[in-house]
Amino acid sequence: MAITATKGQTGLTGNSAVAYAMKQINPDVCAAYPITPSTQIVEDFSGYVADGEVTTELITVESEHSAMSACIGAAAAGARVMTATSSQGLALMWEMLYIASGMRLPIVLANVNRALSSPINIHCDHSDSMGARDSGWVQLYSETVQEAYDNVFMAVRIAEHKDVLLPAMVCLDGFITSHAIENISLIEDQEVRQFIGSYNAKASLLDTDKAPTFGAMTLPDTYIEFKRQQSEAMTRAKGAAIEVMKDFGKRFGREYGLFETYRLEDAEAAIVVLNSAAGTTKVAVDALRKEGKKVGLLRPRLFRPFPWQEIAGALKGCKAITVLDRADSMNAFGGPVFSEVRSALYDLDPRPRVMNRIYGLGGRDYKVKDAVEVFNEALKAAETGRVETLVKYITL
Amino acid sequence: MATLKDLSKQQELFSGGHRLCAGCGIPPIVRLVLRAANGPVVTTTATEYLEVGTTIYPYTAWRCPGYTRPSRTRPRP
Repeated sequence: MAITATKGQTGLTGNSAVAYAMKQINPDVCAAYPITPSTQIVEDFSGYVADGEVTTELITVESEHSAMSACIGAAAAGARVMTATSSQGLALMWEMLYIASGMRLPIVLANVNRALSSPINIHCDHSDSMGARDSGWVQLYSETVQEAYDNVFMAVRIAEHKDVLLPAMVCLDGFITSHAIENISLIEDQEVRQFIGSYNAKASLLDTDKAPTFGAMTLPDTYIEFKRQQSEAMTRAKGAAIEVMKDFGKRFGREYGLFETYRLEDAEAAIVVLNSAAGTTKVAVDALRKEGKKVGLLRPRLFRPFPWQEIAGALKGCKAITVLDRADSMNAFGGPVFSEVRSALYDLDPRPRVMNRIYGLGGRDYKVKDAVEVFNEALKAAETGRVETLVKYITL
Repeated sequence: MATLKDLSKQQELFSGGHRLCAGCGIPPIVRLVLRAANGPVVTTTATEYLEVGTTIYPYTAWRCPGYTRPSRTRPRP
């Protein structure tokens, strides 16, 4: 598809928008293996490579494990590297995800969220990226096509930030965002180049003078220090993200934060939810507000590192909060977002009631009526101070 | 074709002092391979005793850049 970046609006699917962002970034290397629903990212991008619109070395590999392995090799050589995947693809990369972050290689990956087998399902849920939440990758989540497109540029800057040097993944909802056409505002190539700048790796595998070793053996006397350094870099990624988002807003007029709040200031009951379901939830917020019910929304954008103090600060006025998880931790105590949000709120005084609802697994629709039901239940808990059911599945 | 004597005059890219066992057959093989390689050398090794015995941080026996990959990236028959 021939697209010209102008200031005007352009209709693109989430996948095409991510591929177009990758074209504008023109990474040195892309190694990828296509998988539904992220296939079109690699498909569009390989078109840009074939048409000579980018100078990227595209490595077509036999699996996602090999894709991430090739990305790591290229990044160790000092290249700016990008890839895309979904679901089983991300799962097959698992071993290598930890190596990318442990070697401090700022690879950027677009993950189009899809359920994990078994049973097989190609539709949206967050089990894939939630499983990778502790792999040392920065995670940015996107509600819309526009946000997914914008997040790709911000991910490059955050990952390559001198205080960070960690890989980053941009998550967007399978089909709901990846395949829906949305009118978005593109950034001009020149402005993209100015925003992301050039990347100069600190060490290169091809530097035969310094002869660095990547992936050395560390015994119990040194391993924990490496992990602590990595953990501190991840902590610093929050500051880097704030800096990058602020710069992005100043340049392009679209303001982003660590999370988005919607009518939360005076809310008594709130929903916390990631990605596209926030759009549906906002419609429910508006409907209930018309009835005089004080409800609001918080949508985390940066999930790794998890900005727990800021999230607690934003939710401290609420009496009841329901965290919606599009993934289950299968640990009988709620989904991953719930565990972290509830833990972040533990020290608040007074402490709000916090519930968890697992919704939309495998692409099950989450409708405005579902959000309304969740809000009404939360409002009841806000009023009585009692939670009837802490964790349960909805949209069944 | 270079003789072993010719190769012995090439640059030594694999140092002594590593932690592989005395009598291990791998170091002489690696030394010979590195001597036979013409031009700049970058090595990659899939995790095994060669790599864990020669790159124990903060030391390395390699005088050329190296990247250790997980075992799964080793070619399979």
